[in-house]
Amino acid sequence: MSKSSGPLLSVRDLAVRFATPGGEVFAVRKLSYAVAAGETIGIVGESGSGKSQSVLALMGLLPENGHASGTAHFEGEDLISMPRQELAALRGAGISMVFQDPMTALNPYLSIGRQMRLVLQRHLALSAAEAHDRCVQALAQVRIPEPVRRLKSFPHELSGGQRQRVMLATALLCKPRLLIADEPTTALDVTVQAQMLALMRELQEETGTAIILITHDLGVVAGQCDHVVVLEAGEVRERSAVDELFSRPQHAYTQRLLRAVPRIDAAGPPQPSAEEPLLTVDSLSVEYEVLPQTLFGRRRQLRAVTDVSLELSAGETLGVVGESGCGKSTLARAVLRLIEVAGGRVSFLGSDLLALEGASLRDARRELQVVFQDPLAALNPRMSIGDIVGEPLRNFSPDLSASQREARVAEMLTAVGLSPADARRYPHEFSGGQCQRVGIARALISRPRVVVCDEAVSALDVSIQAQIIELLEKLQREMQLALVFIAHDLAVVRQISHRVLVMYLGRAVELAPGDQLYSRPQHPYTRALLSAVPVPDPASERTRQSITLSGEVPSPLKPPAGCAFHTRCAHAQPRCQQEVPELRRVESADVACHFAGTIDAENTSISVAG
Amino acid sequence: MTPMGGLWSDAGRALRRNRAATISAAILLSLILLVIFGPLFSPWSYDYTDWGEIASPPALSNGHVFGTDQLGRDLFVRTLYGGRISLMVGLAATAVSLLIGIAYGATAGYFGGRLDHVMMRIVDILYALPFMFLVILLMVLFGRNIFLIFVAIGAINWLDMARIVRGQAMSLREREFVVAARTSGTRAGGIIGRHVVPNLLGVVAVYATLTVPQVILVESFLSFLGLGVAEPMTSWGALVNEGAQNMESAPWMLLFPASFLAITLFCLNFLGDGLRDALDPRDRSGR
Repeated sequence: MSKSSGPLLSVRDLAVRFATPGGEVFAVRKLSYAVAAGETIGIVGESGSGKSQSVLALMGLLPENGHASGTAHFEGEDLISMPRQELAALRGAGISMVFQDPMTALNPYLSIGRQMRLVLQRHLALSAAEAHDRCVQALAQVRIPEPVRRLKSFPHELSGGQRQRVMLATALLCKPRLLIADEPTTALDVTVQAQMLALMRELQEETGTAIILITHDLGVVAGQCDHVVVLEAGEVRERSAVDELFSRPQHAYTQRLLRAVPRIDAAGPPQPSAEEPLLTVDSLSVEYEVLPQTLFGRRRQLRAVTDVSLELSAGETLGVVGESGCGKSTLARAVLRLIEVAGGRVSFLGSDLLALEGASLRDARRELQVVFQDPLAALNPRMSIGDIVGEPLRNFSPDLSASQREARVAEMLTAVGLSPADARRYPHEFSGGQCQRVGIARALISRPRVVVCDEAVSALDVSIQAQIIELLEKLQREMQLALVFIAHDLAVVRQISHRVLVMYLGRAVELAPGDQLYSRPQHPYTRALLSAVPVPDPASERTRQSITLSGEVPSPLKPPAGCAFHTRCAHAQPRCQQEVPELRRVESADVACHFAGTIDAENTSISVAG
Repeated sequence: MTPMGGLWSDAGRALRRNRAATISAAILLSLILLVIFGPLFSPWSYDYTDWGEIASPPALSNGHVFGTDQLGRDLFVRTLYGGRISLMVGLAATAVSLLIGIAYGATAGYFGGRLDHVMMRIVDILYALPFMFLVILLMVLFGRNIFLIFVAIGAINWLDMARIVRGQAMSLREREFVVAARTSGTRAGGIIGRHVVPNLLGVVAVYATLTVPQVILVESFLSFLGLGVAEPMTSWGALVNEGAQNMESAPWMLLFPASFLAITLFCLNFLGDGLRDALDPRDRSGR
């Protein structure tokens, strides 16, 4: 099909501009690259770099006010100047696309099979039976169990990972020569991401499809791509082979980006001097009531957190990691008394936090603050920055005069790297990173002792992430803060945490000092989690033997009996299906595994550098 | 500077920059002044019959600038008197439904759970009362009185508002900035007042501008049934109704009250849109 000579797609001087009320804005300028059959090219950049627009332009999917210029020859024909109808015929058949969010990219009202058949009907004249077989085959190809039954399912009945597999299967139905994947694994958990990336590699070897992979994650690039284009603000900063890029980055921006990427194989922060614990959590449990599905159905209890214990001292950072739904955010919110607790004890500076009510609870909150994941959503859009940051002061120090309060707000804004003049402005006028600084300022203005960072940097670009973490570390040193740092990104947690708690299905599976956990993980789940994290180093990505977990996290409504992890554990024994393992000490870690210490650590190849 | 003060003063400044809203507000204001003071400058009263000018068309010569109706009453004065009633009913009933509806709905939506259940069942029960039955009952008990119309219309309209506000408040409750306010030690009243209500005012403003015309029309319907204002007193709704019946023989009887009504509703719509934009800082910049 594709011509043997020359590349499959060659893009030359692609520019994308948008007509806006404020004049013309360039999203992409002078982008040139080529992709050969069977090759993967990565387009890397932070948000707003124009990486998505550059491929939407190829597909003719730009918004109304967008305009593309330049050339993009696909199998000899120019996509940019191609008439709309021809391009529409090519989409899905010759070139297809996988999007970031599999839930919004699938139509919730149509069954999976129906949606897949629509693609086939559009491009190939197949009989109903043939189309059905093709769909079953495609689902089997992306390793979806029971493909025939799955065809009748609706998108909401599938997990996030399965939905993304369905998207991939749909994209590959007509055997496209080029697959464009726009952040295909960003919305997925690390272990599922690892499965997905491995699957894409396998399918590429089978079919020889060329892939354009758009991502912000340099770790993913290192493992997947042959060539890389680095975009910043619509301009190409660097274009080179993957080994070249990581070993000898040429452009200053690439060098900065690579430095900012948190690495799982880097050293953690130095341990603080041991002190009396500030906050003690003792076998805390949280339950949610799930409303019945039918009118007369039973209400069911969902155990989001089961028997978690931990301690936190001043100046210390405790990282909490786990996949989505593991209960890490619930744990934090329960400790902060934002949701009801089903059992256990939380004591803060010796007093029982769970017994506090009304005014005394408000007093305690002064010492316990939180920074949220989505920086913009956590700020009231109708309030000015000054009012937002000043709100805790109004509540906790009502005797301050307005001018004293303003002075404190100005001081705090300066401390988080904003200007006192920003107090008059509103949240939407700031970037994500700046909004997060505002969130931090609000959390710290009442001079708390404990701050919970609930995925506080997950929504930010890597370079901004690095700045925010630096800021948190600086403020922690200055104010002797105890931090609880919740994240799904193990590399970020590594960078900031003294100790790390790993959670799985609401239970603590391992609690260990950072260095110990990352160099000698004891629990099989911790090991799998660590090995699934992509490392921004092509050489080690290629040689690394990763433990790919099969399947996905079971539903917390029906947790497996015994050790919750036994359904996915390679070392599971009959005992694991019956007995719940207790946390016990192995080396300097607390591990909840019957066989901890006896399973050798030969298949984890992460070493501590530096 | 309190947060609410900041919000309202910033919104006021933004509203003044919105030309359509400013003009609408000016027109509405002059309309209100006109219906209050206009009748003072007219030689006729609203129920005086000018026997020489029965159903005469608008003319400057005889002093009836809007013409007269079938009973020889001056339409200009009647339109202004009708405006007093209609604007009073429309604005007062809407204000009542706004106040009760927002307070009730925001409380139910923010607290949720059992309180929400009880409060919303009360709303459901009130919904189930037949409106006409309620009005007739009130009339029988207390006699015919314009204030009863306010009570009846207000008692029905806040139910819609409460439901809309509750829905909004329920989704706002889950937003991170509300959780953040709780950890900042803000009391429930403060959260509802500073975080929940300001963020649902956009929807409320639009709904309120739809409520005013609805209320004015409901009043005219009541008047048509003989339950609203009593002749010879009148309202825009009643005048439009009369005018529609004499559309062919005396078109001015429809034209004048109808255009007053239409202008009022237009202005309220523009003002509502302007208010919604002005209250949202995201729409405020760049204008």
